[in-house]
Amino acid sequence: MGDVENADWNEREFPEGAQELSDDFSRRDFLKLMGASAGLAGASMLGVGCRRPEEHIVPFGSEQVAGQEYVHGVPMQFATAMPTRTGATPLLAVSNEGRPTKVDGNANVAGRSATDQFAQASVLNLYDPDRARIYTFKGKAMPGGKASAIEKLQQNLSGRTAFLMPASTSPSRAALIGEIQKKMGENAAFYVHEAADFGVHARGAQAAFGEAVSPYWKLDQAEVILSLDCDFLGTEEGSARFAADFAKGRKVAKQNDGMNRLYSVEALLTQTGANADHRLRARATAIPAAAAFIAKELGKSVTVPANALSEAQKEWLTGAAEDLKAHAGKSLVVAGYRQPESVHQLAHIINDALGNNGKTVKFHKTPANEFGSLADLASDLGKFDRVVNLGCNPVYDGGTDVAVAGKSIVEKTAFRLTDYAEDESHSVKGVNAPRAHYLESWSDARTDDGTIVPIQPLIAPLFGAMTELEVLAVFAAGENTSPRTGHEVVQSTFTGDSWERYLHDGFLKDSGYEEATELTIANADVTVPPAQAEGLEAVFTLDYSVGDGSYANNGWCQEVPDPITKITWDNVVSVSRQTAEAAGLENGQLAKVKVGDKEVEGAVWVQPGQAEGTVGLALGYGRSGKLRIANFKYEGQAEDIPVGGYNAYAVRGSSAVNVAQNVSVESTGKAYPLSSTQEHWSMEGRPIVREATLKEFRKDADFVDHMGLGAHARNEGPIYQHPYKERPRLASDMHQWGMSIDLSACTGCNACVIACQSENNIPIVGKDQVAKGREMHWLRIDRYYTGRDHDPRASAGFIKDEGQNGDDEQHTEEWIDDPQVVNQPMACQHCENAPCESVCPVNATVHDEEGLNVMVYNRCVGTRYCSNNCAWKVRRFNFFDYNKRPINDLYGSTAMLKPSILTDWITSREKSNRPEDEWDLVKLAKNPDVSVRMRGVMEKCTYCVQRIESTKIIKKAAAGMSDDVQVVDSDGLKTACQQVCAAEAISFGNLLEDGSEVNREKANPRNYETIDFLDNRTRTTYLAKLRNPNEQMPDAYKKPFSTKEYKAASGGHGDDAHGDHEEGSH
Amino acid sequence: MSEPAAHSQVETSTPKELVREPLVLNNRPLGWITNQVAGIVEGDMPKWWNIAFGVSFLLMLMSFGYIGYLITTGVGVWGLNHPVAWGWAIVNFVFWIGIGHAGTLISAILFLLRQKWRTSVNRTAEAMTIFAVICAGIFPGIHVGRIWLAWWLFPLPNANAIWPQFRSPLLWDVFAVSTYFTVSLLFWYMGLIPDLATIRDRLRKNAGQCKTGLDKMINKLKQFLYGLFSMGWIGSNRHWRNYEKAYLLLAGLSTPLVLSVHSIVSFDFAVSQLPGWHTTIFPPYFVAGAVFSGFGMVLTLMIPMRTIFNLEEIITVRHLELMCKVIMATGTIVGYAYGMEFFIAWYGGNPYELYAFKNRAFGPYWWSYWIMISCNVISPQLFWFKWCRTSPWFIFVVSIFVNIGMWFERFVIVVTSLHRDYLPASWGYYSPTQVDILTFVGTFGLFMVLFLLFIRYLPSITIFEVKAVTPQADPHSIEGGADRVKGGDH
Repeated sequence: MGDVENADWNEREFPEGAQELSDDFSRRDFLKLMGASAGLAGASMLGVGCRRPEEHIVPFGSEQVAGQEYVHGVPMQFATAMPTRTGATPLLAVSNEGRPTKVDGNANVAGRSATDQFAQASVLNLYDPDRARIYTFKGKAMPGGKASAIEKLQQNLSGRTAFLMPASTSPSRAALIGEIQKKMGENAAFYVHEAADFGVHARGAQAAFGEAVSPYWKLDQAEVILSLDCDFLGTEEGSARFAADFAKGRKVAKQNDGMNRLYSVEALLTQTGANADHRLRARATAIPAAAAFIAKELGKSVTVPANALSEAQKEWLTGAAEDLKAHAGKSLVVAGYRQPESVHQLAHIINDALGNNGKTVKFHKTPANEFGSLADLASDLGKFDRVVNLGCNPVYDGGTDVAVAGKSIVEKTAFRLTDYAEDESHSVKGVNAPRAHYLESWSDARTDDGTIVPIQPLIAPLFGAMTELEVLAVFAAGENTSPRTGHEVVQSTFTGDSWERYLHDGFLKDSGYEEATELTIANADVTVPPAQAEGLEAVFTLDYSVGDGSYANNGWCQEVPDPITKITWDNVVSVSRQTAEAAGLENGQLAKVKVGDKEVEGAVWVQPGQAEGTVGLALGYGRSGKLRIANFKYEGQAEDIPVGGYNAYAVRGSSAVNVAQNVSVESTGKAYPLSSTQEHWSMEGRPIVREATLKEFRKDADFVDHMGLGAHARNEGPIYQHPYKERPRLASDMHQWGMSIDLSACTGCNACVIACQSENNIPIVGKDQVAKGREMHWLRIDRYYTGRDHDPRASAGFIKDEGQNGDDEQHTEEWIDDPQVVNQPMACQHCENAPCESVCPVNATVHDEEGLNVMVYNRCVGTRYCSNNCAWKVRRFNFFDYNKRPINDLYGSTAMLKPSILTDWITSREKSNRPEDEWDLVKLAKNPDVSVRMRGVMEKCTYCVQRIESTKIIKKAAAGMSDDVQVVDSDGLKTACQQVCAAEAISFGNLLEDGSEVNREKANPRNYETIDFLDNRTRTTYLAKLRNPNEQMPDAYKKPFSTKEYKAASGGHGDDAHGDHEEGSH
Repeated sequence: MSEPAAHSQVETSTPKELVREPLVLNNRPLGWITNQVAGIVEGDMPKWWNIAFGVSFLLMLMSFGYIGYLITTGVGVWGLNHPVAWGWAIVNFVFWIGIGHAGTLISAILFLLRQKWRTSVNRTAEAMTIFAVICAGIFPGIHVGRIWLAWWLFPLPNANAIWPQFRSPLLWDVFAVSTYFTVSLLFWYMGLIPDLATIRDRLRKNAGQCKTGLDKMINKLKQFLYGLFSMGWIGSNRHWRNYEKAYLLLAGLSTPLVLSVHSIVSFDFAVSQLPGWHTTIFPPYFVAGAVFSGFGMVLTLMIPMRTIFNLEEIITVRHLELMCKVIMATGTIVGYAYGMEFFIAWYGGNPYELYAFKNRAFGPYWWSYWIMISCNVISPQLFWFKWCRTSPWFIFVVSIFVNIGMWFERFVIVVTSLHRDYLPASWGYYSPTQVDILTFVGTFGLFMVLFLLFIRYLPSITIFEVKAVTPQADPHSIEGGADRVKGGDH
């Protein structure tokens, strides 16, 4: 914080924390570690002047350090959970001296250490410098902070109050609401609002079975899966579990292993469609008809809307239905949240007809939703004196219909918990209170199977923030009674035996939902909504990167490339190639999207695989308020270029929340810069991702060895002696690390990318730097499109386009209409004959005895030669001081324009040029075990060497005098990407351990090295992707498209020597 | 070499030998040569010199300013990215190093081959070499991310006991370039000694003509400095004997360097595994290219110089023509290399390499490739025509093309290979920024500053060597030996 700003801050009647924030010891405030690390605890849990009994949180990993609970410098783990819309993600959070820096899934609860990308990114939200820091009333700081906010609430407690809350499964919240309802009766009403409504799953089940149940998919039990616009690998809630279960059916190790098959019907190209064996493009409004068609094929009497489906589509659906029938009891039809209740109902009817219910899908008896919606609140608003908003943002995401009401809700808001110092729904007349992050909160929640998990804080609220439980507790306590703390509330709701065990393990045993069996279809009469045959329709989708907008101010989320488009920092208006042509839209131009009478301007993106006539509008962008990341403006950005994408909520009505009709798009002719991390889509027929169908694999298990130049070059043996073979003493006989990535299992979800970023202190660089190709991700996911009739030779000679964004011609090529998608996580390959090492003039990148290609940051002078010589281009260079300089001010010279920066830098290299408020927080998020790299230094994946070393240390400490110091799988060593991968696509471990997971994976015949002919001997190898097409389908294929492209590019040679002769089917 | 030898035979029995075109025209006396060359140094510089120096100096300062900006801000001020981690800096480095080749080639190899025509041009060419290597040396120094640690590339003992990594071609560059620079500088300086002594002596003689006290002081200072650097040269027989021996030795030492420096620079690329870089033809191809560009630059500088200082009789059209022939020969070698790269890319059967070359010619950077081909392959072929290689203004134009073409050759090699390599997912595009461009433009300022100072203060033509190749210096010359024309006051 600059001096001027600081003075201003102090003048505001001494806001809470002003003293601390202005001096260098502000960190002290953040280091108030509670609980187990005694002495530090209890200082001021609830803010200044409010002494409370100590509240213990129980560390998870305390048994790791024998005899001690806390060892200085050793990170501790605590079990907690991140609440989601429909449940919670159980977590183990890592705390370094009281700073939570990383979260991992709690394998105790779910059996997996995996999470989705949002849980990984959520740590950064805790340290968001734009967070609300002070309590305000009518726009003025409240000197008393939390205490006066509570006082304000206590005035006139009996007034008619409407509570607007985000969705939650917290038993404590439910208990408090019960108490309030008892106490206040008619005077209190509760409304729940979420931008995306996943309640349709329960409603659909209730409609089908007539009971309050929710479906619980068991994808691992299903051999054939049909997704009806259900993005269970992407935007559906709980996608991590779905990905895990789905992947179980994709990992084929032996020729007689089974493999599941995924059919997907969808309008937008989703992660699920990208992983499907057969994919049908259909308009979103035609999907109910598709569901009805399948039901009819299975002998159900359903009316299929006329003209909704083309003959080709019907043929496809017939094929899929036949396959489902053939796998009755072992198949599953799932409907997505974007589809209306009728489609969900039909899915249940189809599953019932196939005998899948109870087998591949279970049902839980879940409490029915008894709360009203935002729309209900809007219409009931007159009945209330005031609104208490516990964290919703109705003005932003309420949609067009309630926008007016949203404003009036804000007018009436007497109290609001807010994430940001300023955002759309800020209360003007009431109290704005900082909302506590879940890592600062006491609460609880239920996971998707109903298991109760505790949410315990790892850090005292940074800005004295409040939780929703604390607010509700005020109402539950009533006037003149001091409210219970969050801790007390949660503990009072706890019903188990041991509170300590509950906090330690992070879940309450056997607290899951009761399973509903013997369900019968109560209502087979489904009215299928008609399809819109002509004109454009809009599909609103949660953004893969920022969700519904709650992660819009999170730098990691903004900069992670969208898994499909690979665009960062923006959302796009996606259209198919033909739709773009028909509407005169050009890629990268701003277009005016009109839905009904509302309009918004967004950048056009021609998206392969998208249904014709569909306009994809991603939610979550276009935020307003003082949000430095969500509204990031790079240096030199033209004034007329909008910041932060467009707000799709501005054209989203409450009646057509997911799919809207009456849509028009027209180009404005203005160009809009989009920053994509991958500009070229085609693999150019190169055998980089190797693929086969299951049938091919069964015929030729070693198919990977028959592809690529390596198949020929290998026979001769290497020209140069392998360094370890040459001098065996160089190699450790204890540990040799290796990694294997199963491309069949990888869904491309990005969780690993963000986990890596969080673990390894990887900076973000800003939209303009990404456009220049300077993103820093150590792990990226390469996404290629392959086409049925795409001959890479046709374009190899003449690449038509140039320019900063490159490869624009791809958007107009026909082969992209129905592409197959392949994903390939790409990070340092840790070559044994590493090409980067031999060219570094200063020995900054060298090999260690355990096979790691290590990067010595302190030695690196930054010649960048290593990057040039890396065939995978996985090395990342710090072109600027991304960590220390504000990313919207990278170009100013320190010497000439800002001499103070240079002198600062000379006198204290620790000092940053970032605004003080940003720097204070940003450095708290860093992993202390990983160096923060300065400018001019090359960096890259290290196989999480800090984790390897700490595991070795623990092992050595435990071994004492014994020789048992070899790290093996059972020691729990995992790289960050491996740990977070729900699909368990990444295996890492000691190659010298017999039967280690990584050795088992590498023994898989699908194992191959990318660009193997270079003889770099990569330690990271890949397992080829398998597809499981159905030969009876009209769009069947005998070879994956990429294999066809490879054969075409290698001029048919592959066919003669190795492959079988075949014509491209269809 | 055989010019004087045949002549001693009996004239009557052999038909009259064709007379070689003399290397100094118009049968000038030897003293005239000294006056002509030393006069440039002794006289006042014309107005254009002051203007040119001022402009060059400003350009140089601009370059230094941009380098300061780069160092204090980060390499990001250039257009580099992933995958193109080397851009203009390396292109410029190779470009300048290449230019630095002609000097030593002319001085050393042509000396060993007894090509007498070299005498008129070698001093300037050598000076150009040194200045070009200075310009080149800037770039590897500043292109690294942490410039303040660039000294780690030198094998200096340090507390960490970490040595440079001797397998890296960048380290070989350090040795190759610094050796080349040192030897070239010594060679050049040694050649200067007799001429510096001549100027010293002339200054002493002219001291009496000084009118003001200031002039006298300047004369004294100059005498002192030229005297200092001529190291007590008095032109004694012993001096000459030692000189000739040392010169021959240095020429022998420099000769392999001419070949090694650019071979090693080419290793920066050839040793890597990048398609388009990893090519065994690179060392000879780079050397030929370097000679080609070096001669291009020599011509670019010398053609205006000979006109401005009235040196047409010392640097004759014949000199220009001979250099054109070298350009034509090396240009053809370079053209052959371009063709051979394509052939091998196809014949080698490596699709990545084939793609890299197709992409050069037809990819997003097609324009740079075709500029390179037009300038380097097509334009020197014009020198098959005698008129083309004997018309100075025409040669000047072609020499500019050669300079442009050779810059683009390095651009094509560095950038087009990097921007699309193995994994299409990491393909990108590179454009230079203002900082890239103006830093490079500014190095021409530095080069010109040094060159103009050279013209101003040092004899730009080797006086004593030129005298040695005049007909007068040859007692057997049919034009008449020393006895026919009375020697000047050398």
